[in-house]
Amino acid sequence: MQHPMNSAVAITGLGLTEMGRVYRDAEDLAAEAVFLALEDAGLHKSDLDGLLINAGISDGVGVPLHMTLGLQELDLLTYMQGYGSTAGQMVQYAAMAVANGLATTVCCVFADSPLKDKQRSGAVSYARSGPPNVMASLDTVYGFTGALPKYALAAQRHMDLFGTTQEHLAAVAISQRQWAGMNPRASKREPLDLDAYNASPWVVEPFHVLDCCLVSNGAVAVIVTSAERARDLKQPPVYLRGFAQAHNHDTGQAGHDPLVHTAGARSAPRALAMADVNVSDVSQCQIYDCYTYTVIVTLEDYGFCEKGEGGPFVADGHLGPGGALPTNTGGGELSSFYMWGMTPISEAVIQGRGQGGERQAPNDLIMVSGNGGVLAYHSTLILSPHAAQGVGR
Amino acid sequence: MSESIAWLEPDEHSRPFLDGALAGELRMQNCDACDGWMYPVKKRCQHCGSTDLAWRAVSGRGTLYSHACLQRVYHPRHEGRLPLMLAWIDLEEGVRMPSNLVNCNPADAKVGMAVEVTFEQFADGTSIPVFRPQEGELSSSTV
Repeated sequence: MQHPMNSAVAITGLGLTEMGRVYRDAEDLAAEAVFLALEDAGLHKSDLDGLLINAGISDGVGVPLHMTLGLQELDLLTYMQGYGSTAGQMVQYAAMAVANGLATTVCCVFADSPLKDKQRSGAVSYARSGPPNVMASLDTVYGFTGALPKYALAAQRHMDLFGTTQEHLAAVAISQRQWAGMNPRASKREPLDLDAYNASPWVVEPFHVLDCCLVSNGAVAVIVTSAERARDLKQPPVYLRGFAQAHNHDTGQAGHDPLVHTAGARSAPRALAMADVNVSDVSQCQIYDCYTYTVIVTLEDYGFCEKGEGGPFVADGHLGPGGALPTNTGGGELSSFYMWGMTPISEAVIQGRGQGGERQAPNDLIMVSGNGGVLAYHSTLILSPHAAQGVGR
Repeated sequence: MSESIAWLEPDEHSRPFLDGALAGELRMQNCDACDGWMYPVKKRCQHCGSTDLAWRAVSGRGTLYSHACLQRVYHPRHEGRLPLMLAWIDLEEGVRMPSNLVNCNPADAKVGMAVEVTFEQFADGTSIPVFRPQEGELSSSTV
């Protein structure tokens, strides 16, 4: 029997502000993204009855955004935080609210503004302030500062266990740069080859600078409404066919291997089941790519290849233009812009509408991942230009 | 010998750990109710929820869960020692802790390698646990 959420809602509006070294406060960027999404969908702000908000590391936007926007009456309003998995989560909670009559039209917005004028992007710290941990300073003494070193250790473990190589990591960065060259919005568009990748400075080996995502200021908003209503609006609907979340508690215990077997392995099958499709039906992927390794391990955990085969899989040209599994077709967080989970979602909406222009790829089924913490928090969306058979029409 | 990490001055929570390092002992929190081990500092057992936690010495032996080479200075201790080897250690008692791997060339570090604790002394009299390969883990050509 078809899952009641399969194709119940669609993403209708998309708003993207300018990205990168845009020295504006996050709330103003968020407000602009909401208005851009409304205009894109052909809606007025009085049509919005739900607002879900997520700020990045600069933490400059919260629930008061509804006052800035002048939204007098809302039926759904909250700030959410699941780190890089939040954007996908917001779309999921919006979908459940719309499908169950709590709201009709929900805007999900992410904004961040960590870059300051004259400051190097490397000076931005993505270290998260967790619960009080009196020995956190000892981690800094050891060199475990923020998420980056832990992702590097994750990648190194994969390399030791399965023979994944530096060239495999490079293949992700290079294929995404090929896509970015066709995306006018991408920050890094100049061609990248293996020599240039290898010449990029080390940060924490095995990660070069080019294994790490960009740091960007900007905002992205998407509007979720019922599939039926979306069909009457300005843009082609991008249907939400399936979704799921999975979260892994970092136990600090030996024997757990959440850096090689991530939460994505539990999220993906449930999202695919909701959509009533198999992984082999997927036309393209928009994979959260905070680091090159994140793409490799997520593709494995989603079932596109066997565990441990992700390196050779990405090196075989699957992900780039003309490949069998076009992935991160806008350049991703590595080459386009870093808006947490909204980077993959925004590109999925563009692709789902068929508006990718030069970089448009087959779009029948688009698998989207969100990832936060150190491979700890995960969300999956399955989007399509087509509603499931037997729904609507 | 590094200059100082005096700002690591122990507080009520970290004192048993840092005092242990001074005494040449790696200490971890152990639950009196369920015998579970945990790190970093907890107020409540992550296994059973008990608050009856005690610091006890562990074997100091374990295996390398993973490793990486820090190539940028994030703390004064890192000056002049790059690449500094980051290591996650799975202790025999079942706890995973972040630390550094010493007395090992980066190319010789391998996941699963047997390691043991040793202690790095600072001029201010403090000490922190770090790990080195157990005897026989490295070929004679290294270190």
